[in-house]
This record gives sequence, C-alpha cells and structure tokens, in this order.
Amino acid sequence: MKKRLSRSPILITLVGLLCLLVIGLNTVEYLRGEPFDQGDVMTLVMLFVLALHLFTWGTDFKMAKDEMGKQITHHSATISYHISALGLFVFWIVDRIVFIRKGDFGNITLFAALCFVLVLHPLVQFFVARRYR
Amino acid sequence: MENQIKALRKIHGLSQDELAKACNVSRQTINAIENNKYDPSLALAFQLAAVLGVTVDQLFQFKKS
Repeated sequence: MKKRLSRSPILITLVGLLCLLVIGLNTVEYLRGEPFDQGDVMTLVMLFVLALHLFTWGTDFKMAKDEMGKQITHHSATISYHISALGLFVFWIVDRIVFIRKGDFGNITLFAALCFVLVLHPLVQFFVARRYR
Repeated sequence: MENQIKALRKIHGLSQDELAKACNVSRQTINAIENNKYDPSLALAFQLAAVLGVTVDQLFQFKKS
C-alpha cells in the first residue's frame, strides 16, 4: 500500500512534466513561425488522456478492473456517448452557420456521423438485449 | 442499502485492504460499499458475507429511500 501511494505522485509528476515539455516545445515551434500539425495536436491530446487516466485511477490498476471500476467505466461511457451525440449536433449546426452551407444536409460527413451515432445506441442495445431473451 | 461491513470488519480485526484482498477487489471498492456509495453485485455480497462469517441478509439491510 505504501509503495503504491509513493509511486503514484512520482508518475503523475512525470506525466505533468512531459505535458509541460511538449507544450513548451510546441509553443517555441509556433513562435518560430512553424504551424501546428496533426502530430502535435494528437500528441497533446494523448498526453491529456494519459494525465486524466492517471488522475482518475492513479497507478492502482486493480481499482479500474474490479466491479466498481467497471461500473464507473460503463457509466462514464454512457455519459460520453450522449455528450458525443450532442457535440456532433452542435458541430453540425456551427458548421452550417460558419461555412454558410446551403444544402439540406450541411456538412454531409458531419451529418452522416451524427446519424450514425444516433442509430448506434439503439442498434447495439437491440443486439445486447437479444442475449437476455 | 445499509450494511454492517465496517463493524464486522473491526470485530474480525481486518483492515479495508485485507478485506479487499480476501474478496479480490480494490480497497476503494470496500470503502465505497462501507460508506453506502456503491451497492456491490450479488457475487461480491456473498463473498463479503462469507469472509465476514455472516449471511448476506445479516450483512446488508435494504431500506426504501
């Protein structure tokens, strides 16, 4: 127990320092006039995800895997799904306004993604429910 | 759902970590159950009752909220 508690802050500090280093390097690149590329953004996103994971679970991976951890993950996934669906709808509306799209569908890719997300949940629910019949 | 886990754990001289190891869950899960923040699965409820030497209905009391 003591070992786990002492290791966790060190790992979190290391990830925090890594985040600062990447942000610092990207800022220097930007100040030199080099634009951000997909790689830079993805690195930042992945580091942010890693930091959030560490803040939630620490280094105690047993907690993430036991039944309460699974319930937390399941509950978070449900909330994330609804936020994603709402987010896609908002992005689709914003895209229509910002880029003044005149077609019925607006940004067709975003619209397709929105329809896909809306259908996905009841579709998965249908197949999961069949397992209990 | 209320429970007697904390009281029975102390009678048996077990720490949260020891009880967690005996039931193969994390200490945080035991802590959440003790504080009525998480209702365990039926399997875990039986496992807790077995480790603490009582029946499930002695360990957990259902109360309508």
